[in-house]
Amino acid sequence: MLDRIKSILKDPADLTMETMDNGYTRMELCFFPSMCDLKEIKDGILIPFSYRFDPDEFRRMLNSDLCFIEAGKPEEWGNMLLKGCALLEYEGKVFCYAAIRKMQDKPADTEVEASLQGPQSAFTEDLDLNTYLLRLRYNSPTLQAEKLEKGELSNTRIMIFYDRNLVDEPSLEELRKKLKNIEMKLVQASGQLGMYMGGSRFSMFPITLKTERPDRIAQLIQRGKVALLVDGSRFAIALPVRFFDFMHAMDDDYEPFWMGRLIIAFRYIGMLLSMTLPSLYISISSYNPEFFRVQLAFSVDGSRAAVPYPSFIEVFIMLFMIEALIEASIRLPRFVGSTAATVGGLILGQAAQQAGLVSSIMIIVTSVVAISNFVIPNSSFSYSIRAMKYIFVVASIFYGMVGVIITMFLVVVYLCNLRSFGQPYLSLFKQGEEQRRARRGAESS
Amino acid sequence: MRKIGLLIAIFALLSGCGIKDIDKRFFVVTTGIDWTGNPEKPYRVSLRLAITSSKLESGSSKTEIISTDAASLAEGVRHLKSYVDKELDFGHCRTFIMGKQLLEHGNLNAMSWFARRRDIQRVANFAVGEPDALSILRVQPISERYPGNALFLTFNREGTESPYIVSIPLFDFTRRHFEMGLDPVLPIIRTAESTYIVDRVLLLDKNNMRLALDPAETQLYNMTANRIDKSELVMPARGRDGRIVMTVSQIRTKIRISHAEVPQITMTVKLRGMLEESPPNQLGENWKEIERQLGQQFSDRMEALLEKIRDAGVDPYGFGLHYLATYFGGKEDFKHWQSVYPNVKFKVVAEVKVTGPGVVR
Amino acid sequence: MNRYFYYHIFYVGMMNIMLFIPHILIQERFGGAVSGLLTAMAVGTALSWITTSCFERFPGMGAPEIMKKYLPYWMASVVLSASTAILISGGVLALYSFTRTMSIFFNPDMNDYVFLALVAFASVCAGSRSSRSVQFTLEILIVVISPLAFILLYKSLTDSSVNWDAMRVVAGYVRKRPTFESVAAATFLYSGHMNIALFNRLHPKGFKIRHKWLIPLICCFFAFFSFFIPIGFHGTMAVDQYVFLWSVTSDSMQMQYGFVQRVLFTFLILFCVLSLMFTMITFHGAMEFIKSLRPRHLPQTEQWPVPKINWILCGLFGILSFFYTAWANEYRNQWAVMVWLECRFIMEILTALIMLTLVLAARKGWRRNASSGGSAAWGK
Repeated sequence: MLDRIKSILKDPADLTMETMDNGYTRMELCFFPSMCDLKEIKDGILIPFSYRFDPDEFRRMLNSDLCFIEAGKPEEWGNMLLKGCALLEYEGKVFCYAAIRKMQDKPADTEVEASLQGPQSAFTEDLDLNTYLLRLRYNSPTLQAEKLEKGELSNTRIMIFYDRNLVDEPSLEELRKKLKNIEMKLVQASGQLGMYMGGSRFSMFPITLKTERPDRIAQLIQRGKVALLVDGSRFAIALPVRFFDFMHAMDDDYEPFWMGRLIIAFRYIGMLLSMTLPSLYISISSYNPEFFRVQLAFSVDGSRAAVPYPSFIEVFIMLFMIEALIEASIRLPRFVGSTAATVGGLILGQAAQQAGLVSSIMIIVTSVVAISNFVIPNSSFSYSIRAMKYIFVVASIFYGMVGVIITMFLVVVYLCNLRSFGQPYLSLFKQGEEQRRARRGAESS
Repeated sequence: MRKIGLLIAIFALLSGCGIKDIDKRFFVVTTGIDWTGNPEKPYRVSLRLAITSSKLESGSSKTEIISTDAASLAEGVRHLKSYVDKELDFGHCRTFIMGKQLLEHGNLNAMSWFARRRDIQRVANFAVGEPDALSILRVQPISERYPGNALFLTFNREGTESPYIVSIPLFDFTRRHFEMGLDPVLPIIRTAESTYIVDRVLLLDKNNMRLALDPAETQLYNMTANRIDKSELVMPARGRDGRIVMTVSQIRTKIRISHAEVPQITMTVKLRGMLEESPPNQLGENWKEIERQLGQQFSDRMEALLEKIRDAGVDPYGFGLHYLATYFGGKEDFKHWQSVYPNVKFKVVAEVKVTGPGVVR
Repeated sequence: MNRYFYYHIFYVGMMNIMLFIPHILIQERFGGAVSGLLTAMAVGTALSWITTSCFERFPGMGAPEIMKKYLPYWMASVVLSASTAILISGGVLALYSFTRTMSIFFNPDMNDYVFLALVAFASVCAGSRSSRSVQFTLEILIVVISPLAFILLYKSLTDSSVNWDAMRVVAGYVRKRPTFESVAAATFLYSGHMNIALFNRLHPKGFKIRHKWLIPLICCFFAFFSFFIPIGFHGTMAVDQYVFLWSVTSDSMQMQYGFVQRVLFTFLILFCVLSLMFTMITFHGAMEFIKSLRPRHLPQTEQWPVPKINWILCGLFGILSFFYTAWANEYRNQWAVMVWLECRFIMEILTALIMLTLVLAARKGWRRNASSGGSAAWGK
């Protein structure tokens, strides 16, 4: 066996290959110490083999213990070793012992999608733990799992979960088809996979939903969606999704009904403001000052008096500043991040206004845009909204108010035209159908 | 090359799309039109322009007034553009003042400029300046925060809700100017030091001014024609010193016109309100009697006012229109109405209801 | 699915304002306008009931499929071409009127063609989508703009400057005989049901339009609303001098405590979206009709990604609107709108008659013999 492995893996330095002899018999053992749990190997193989050795018991153990799988095909050995298994040859048979080193053994805390009073546990970067988390939350015999591997070099394990009574079959079919067609070298993050899968690398909006919350995945599965768990990624992918799913935070379901609705309504308003406010500012100050109240027109006029540039350049300056600030505070280590926010937000904003580079109204506009962008619960969706506002800005530079309205119309057209795995992305009352299906499933099971 | 072409295209677009920053615009807040007497250039167009600042305090409003004589309004405004360094914007002009002289001499058809401009709000208010529009424009009210805000608040019922103020927006003025059986009215603005007094109303026929009502009549007119509550009924207290003043909180007017050869117009007015000022111990006395007296006094005054208006040959209430509406009349009926209007009889029935004496006994 | 049908009724009912129909009717307010409105109510209701009931019998089939199935190919293509022409010209007219209104009230200094470029682009983009997407868009937009519509309704019905006497005076001219023009103009309000000719493709088997009594109710309300409210605001005489009648009327109201004070802007936003919806659906309808002129065309309600032919056809309609803008001015446009309204009215009657015959024919089991026509494939 060892020669064979040597020929596959070319004897890397971090591979341990031993021929062991306990005095009675010999065993060939081979594993990557860095990828295996050494304690497990010691407890599972070395102790029974060395000072508690009993040939019968040892043979029984190899044949019946769940941890030992007979590995008859030499061509699989390399992959097995790379997954973190130990291979041993005993009496001419090769066994694979899964002693994979686990980085995580408890659920992580939610970081991206924090919840106030909901569950605080999140997916980890370990697929098995994630499976456990999901099965724990969706403890039903109807939960179906499919397993596959993707990535020529990374050989990433992927699990597909769905409820076989509730799942939307055409979407599942389309997902399988798309997964089959994916050819990637490295699968590193679920987002990457989602992007390739959707065939939507150039889509303005995400058509798969990434989440780190097992409770959200459980809820989505219950609504007939499919979930994908990728090994090594904290984020699960759900599909097909709709526009409204992105504006939904799990807290909405854990708080009283009307509070939840109110917060959702605020979120939509925030989204609209975040998209349109800079362009509205341009329209008001360059095209239609009569649109709003006279007082507003006069204050915009007064505060713009010292600004040397036309309104759209002012808008671009401020928007660039705020984008840079957001980007900086994400990339920087956490303790420097707050300094960046203070310097950029407070000092620069104040100074820019006093220096007459931008108007004070524009400062307000910028901060409203940034803050209301953060109320969107899903970060990939909030990226989309962040990008959308530039389209509005460009439209308003050329066409003013009408430009904004028509762009809004086009965005609605685009969203309605978008399909997420065959399902309409934006259409009303689809939610009701989903819930009906969920109820039907509950009755039949 | 393509990038340069794209840039050129963008700039070409930018130049063609009428971008005009707000700080390159002058907001006209009040427009005044006067009669010069010069037949070549009969109109004096005056504009009050807002000078905005980022700080807002009472009395911080600054304005600039420009004025020129011209043969027509459009020419005047175009000429005035050369007086200033920024583009004139009428989008926020909410008050238009016409000099009294203008109404005596000019004809109202020249005013079609207002109706035709797309940027003038139809809800902009019209008024008459006494003695002329320019002197009204020159007034700088001390408390004004935003330029032009004082007049705007006066007429808009957002600030003061005085029963003496009649507001006539542009669309209403146009409607009254063309309508059969409904004539225009205009509030009169006078000045007193640094504030405006708006307590009279001017009645016009289709082209000329006919009659100016005094403040008391203005209030009566406003109460009955526009159903302005927060007005008052006053009468001297019988047998005692002082007066009885009732604030009207609710007012309903109903007009009925009989189909006789010479029609009779019956106006039923229902008033509800509280006693605001009265000699002490009013509570013990008979409210019904006070109500009856107030009502009687009101209807007497109203009838006198209506006759005065009728004798001036104007119809600000729209009796003629109401007559046509009641009997689904056409043009013939309107001719008949015009011929009999000078002889119509008025009857005013006032139903006064006092709801209480206020918070004191 | 019922609601989708009523969305069409709703938006066409409101759309009349953008096509100067109140202005056309107001020109005849002392003539046959009021009685024209009443006649249109009867005619429009009858037409919509007949047409929709006929289409209900062919679930999942649009007008092209039905006609190709039961009529000789040449006849079907003539009828379809005529309806296509009506649809395209309707879209182009709406596009022009919309551009004019918006550029007057929003961007008076802007070049008309530059502005039209944006609007045409938006309509082409929207119209070239698949039928199902168009229907979703319609629903979302209706939901989004309905608050604006309610504000407008509420403001104009409760405003104290509305002169009800003037409305009564005009209503008194009901005894005048209706003219063809006024009836043709007023029936436009009822023509929302015509969209079923295409969107019937999306209706599943056994689909029935319920609450049909709502059609005359909704349309009547819009008809009287859009005709009488301007009279209430501008009186019987001054009202005919405004071409952009409803823009001026909405500018006569104000929301003292509103976020946007001038109702005019509420109105303009509302009708901006409505006109875009109208052009979207007319362009889309025309496009689908043209596509189905091909004998072997298979109707598809869901297509992703959007095929190139959609872009090409809708792009052609967009270019057409440029030519129209070059030709038209305010007077020519009014003349064209009038002619279009009349043609549309006649076409509607024809469609109802044809559909009625087809239903009767289908009941007798008669269908076009495959060998007699030019092609046998009418969508398998």
